[in-house]
Amino acid sequence: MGNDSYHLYEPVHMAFDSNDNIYVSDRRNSRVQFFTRGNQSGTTVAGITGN
Amino acid sequence: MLSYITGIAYDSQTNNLYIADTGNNRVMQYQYGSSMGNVIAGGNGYGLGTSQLSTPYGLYFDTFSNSLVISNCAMPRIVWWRIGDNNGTIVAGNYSTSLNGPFDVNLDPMGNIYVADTENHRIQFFLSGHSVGRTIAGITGVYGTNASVLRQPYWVILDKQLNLYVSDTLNHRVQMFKRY
Repeated sequence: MGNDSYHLYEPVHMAFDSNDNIYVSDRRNSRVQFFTRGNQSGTTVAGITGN
Repeated sequence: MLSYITGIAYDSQTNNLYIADTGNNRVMQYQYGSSMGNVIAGGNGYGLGTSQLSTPYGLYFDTFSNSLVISNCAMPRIVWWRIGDNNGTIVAGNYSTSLNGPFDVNLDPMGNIYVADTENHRIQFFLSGHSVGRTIAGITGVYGTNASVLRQPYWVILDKQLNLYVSDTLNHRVQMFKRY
């Protein structure tokens, strides 16, 4: 676990867009991470990363 | 700042993302490409008022009515909140249909509502427009490990054939309930 682009800390829920990209609510990091299909490195689309 | 987020929902028509910002008793909307969110439901403190949410956990975005359906875990009820409105409407969880710590809510294409009624160890089903539910999985107040019972189910989802999948959390398993 951790708060960089390859880690999550208590992921609790997911949502998908129509291209099967994944949004993950990364609870303990208070952020939502976005993963394009097949990519293990996420980007933060909501919340603040690195805190 | 987001605080203790839980459920998220994606609107594939507008590409908006909705986040249950549980610790702040609100739901946020993030428009595509924006890193700044808008409060779309709640955000008026913890309470029972129609403009308030109380520990929102699960949420479902309903395309047909452009609304969110939100499970409030602490004040156990399900609220329907049209995007743009300042108030929600209770659709399940008043006294006659008491829920206990409902974690998640989901809808089928007919608008029927499925609630993971977590602390009651069951899944409740509400026909569209009806506030009196019935139990379709688990037994009220009874938990265990055999196939007819659940133990604190957190999430509930449906497939296209309307089979039900339940994360039976304290049993560390996923249970499937066939529609037919």
